[in-house]
Amino acid sequence: MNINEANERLAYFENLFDKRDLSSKSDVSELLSLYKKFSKIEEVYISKHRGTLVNKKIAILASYSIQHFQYVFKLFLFNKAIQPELYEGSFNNTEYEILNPSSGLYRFEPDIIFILTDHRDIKNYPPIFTSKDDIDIWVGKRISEWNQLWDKLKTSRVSTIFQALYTIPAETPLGNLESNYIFSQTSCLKLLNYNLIVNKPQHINLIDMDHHSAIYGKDRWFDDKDYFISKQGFSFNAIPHLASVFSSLVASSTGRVNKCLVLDLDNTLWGGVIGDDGVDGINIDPNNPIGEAYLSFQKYIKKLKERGVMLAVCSKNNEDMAKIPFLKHEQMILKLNDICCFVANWDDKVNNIRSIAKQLNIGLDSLVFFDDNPAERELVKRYLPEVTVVPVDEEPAHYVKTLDRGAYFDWIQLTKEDIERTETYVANYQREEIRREHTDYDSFLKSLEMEIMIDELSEQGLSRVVQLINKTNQFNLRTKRYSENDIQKMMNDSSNFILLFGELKDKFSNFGIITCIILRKVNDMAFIDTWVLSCRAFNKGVEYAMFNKVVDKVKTWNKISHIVGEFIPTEKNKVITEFLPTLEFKRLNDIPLSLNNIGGGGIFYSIEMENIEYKKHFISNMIKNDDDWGYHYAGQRKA
Amino acid sequence: MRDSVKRDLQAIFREIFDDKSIEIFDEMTADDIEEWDSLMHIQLLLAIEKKFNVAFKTEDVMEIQNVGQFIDYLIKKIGAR
Repeated sequence: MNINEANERLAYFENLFDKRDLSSKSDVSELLSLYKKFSKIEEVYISKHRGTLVNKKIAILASYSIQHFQYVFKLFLFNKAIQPELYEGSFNNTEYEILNPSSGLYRFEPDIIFILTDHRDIKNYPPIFTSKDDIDIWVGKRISEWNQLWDKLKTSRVSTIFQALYTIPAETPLGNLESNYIFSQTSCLKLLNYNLIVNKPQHINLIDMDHHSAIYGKDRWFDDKDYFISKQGFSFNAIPHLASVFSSLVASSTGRVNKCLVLDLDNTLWGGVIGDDGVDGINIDPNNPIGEAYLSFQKYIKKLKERGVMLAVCSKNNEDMAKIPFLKHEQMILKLNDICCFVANWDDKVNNIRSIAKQLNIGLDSLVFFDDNPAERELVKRYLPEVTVVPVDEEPAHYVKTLDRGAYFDWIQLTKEDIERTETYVANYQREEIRREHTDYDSFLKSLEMEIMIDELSEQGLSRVVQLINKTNQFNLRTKRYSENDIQKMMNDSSNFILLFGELKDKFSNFGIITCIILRKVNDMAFIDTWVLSCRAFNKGVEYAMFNKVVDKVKTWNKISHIVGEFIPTEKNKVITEFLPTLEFKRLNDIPLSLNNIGGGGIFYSIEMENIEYKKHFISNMIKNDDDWGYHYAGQRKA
Repeated sequence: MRDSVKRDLQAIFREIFDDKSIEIFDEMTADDIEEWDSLMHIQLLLAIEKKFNVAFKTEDVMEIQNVGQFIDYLIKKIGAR
């Protein structure tokens, strides 16, 4: 390849990955040959895009060959700005790899492990007429084998572990009787999957492969000829589908998640145009097939909202007109208070989407745009490449399917905070109202009657704190991502680490856990390893309340002379560039020697313990009793 | 027909191995192209199946080892249409 060809090829892949367009390619042969081409310029591509690529070491353990899969998987990861280093576990040796501390797996030091299972791994299915009790024993034995592997993985340093549930094969030697007898292979695999779900510990993320194979079509998913020739557990043609699913999961685990669905109105949420047809003319009639299609789309969106996806409206309309159906049409499933941000005007959607991101204080790359108008979609695609644009089908009855199959909101976990967040945004409107009433900011803050509870981290707040650390991009001093395992290790090492978290509420809503700080003792320094604050809690004084607590806690460590902070600039945390100086930290010209191995190449700041003054804020301490903890974590809200 | 099949097959080889200089010949086997391993062999099969709209039987996969055999197979399949 001469230099021109290489440059041309580089430009081709830059364009491909820029548009995040790979998921439109579903032909495995084409993708394999694309990878071959890419592999020759891979190094050049990486060095040119070092700043934007996230490096991840990913191990795949499988009882079958995954070599072709790997190539396509790699392409899909690059398509999501992840630079993967892949490790293929030794063939059919998942147990060995996991149980043996000196296995290739651990030498590789993966960030992420995929464990792929196959129904053919199981050699001793229960014979015909096995009793229910014996089937339970059989299932229990397999679960205890998995428990052993899960325990071992828990002590490893791997951040994220995905495990595939069993894909139930299409062939049924017992025919319809497979589901009438508990001893059939189908029933046994279903029971096994069920028990894996029930028993899996928190650090294991299951993947429902049976679901994916069913969506794809089991007859196409399994191809015995492919299996006999290549020993790959699924057909070659299924590779792109699976690579797309897995790459989304990897992206989520690195904090690249979509948080908000931006919706058009006319011919998206209802049939017709509100401005022309009026509130009685738009179609969301449950007795009309087209109206039903729009209603079922609204119903699906409502479920997304209930699981914590924020909803925004972006419509070319007069604002008052656009709100009429929400207020007046009794069939509307979505209500105004489901919408976190409602933008309806005649400005172009590119500007409006920018403004939505700004108002919600989230990145453009966490928005998903759904609009029936292809021209609007093209415009957004071209001018806001960070925004995910859904390729909407012309048929409104297919809206749900299109949105669902895109798997745009494949998060790693759900938390109460995500779900309450959408409420918080609605309460923001109310807050904004009082803010106008108060002439100075201090009296506004006082009027919010904020309360905070700051405490050392325990099991109770763990999953939320892990999520916060992995999802927060703006107020994040060092953007270090930690897994639950990592955090637990720090919690168990209290002589070297202090982990603080803060939970906030005001008179309008309960924000839940919105901030976390990790302090690390390094000789006579307390080093701020992590400081994250959810964007919902900006400008309220939470950072000052936290800092005061940090000072108190640091005093419990012996002989700490100063607190050191590091700011590692990223594309997204510009908002806190000057944060440490506002706390009277002084910039250091050199990295403190003992932080050489810990520092992340950022800007260092320090403050002497004896010079520290407590910061003023307007947040009182929250009084909590054990009952209060209950509602917060068990999910039951008190009146 | 042999020439046109051979021409199309050559295009596939060049695409799959990402090498424009490949000139295929009947006796050509995996030994003649350094990157032609079992993985690439499967990629080759997938690409040929797609281009010529054929489906190799497992037996064909086992038997076909050189370029000439690919061409013979394809002529037989296309001729039968």
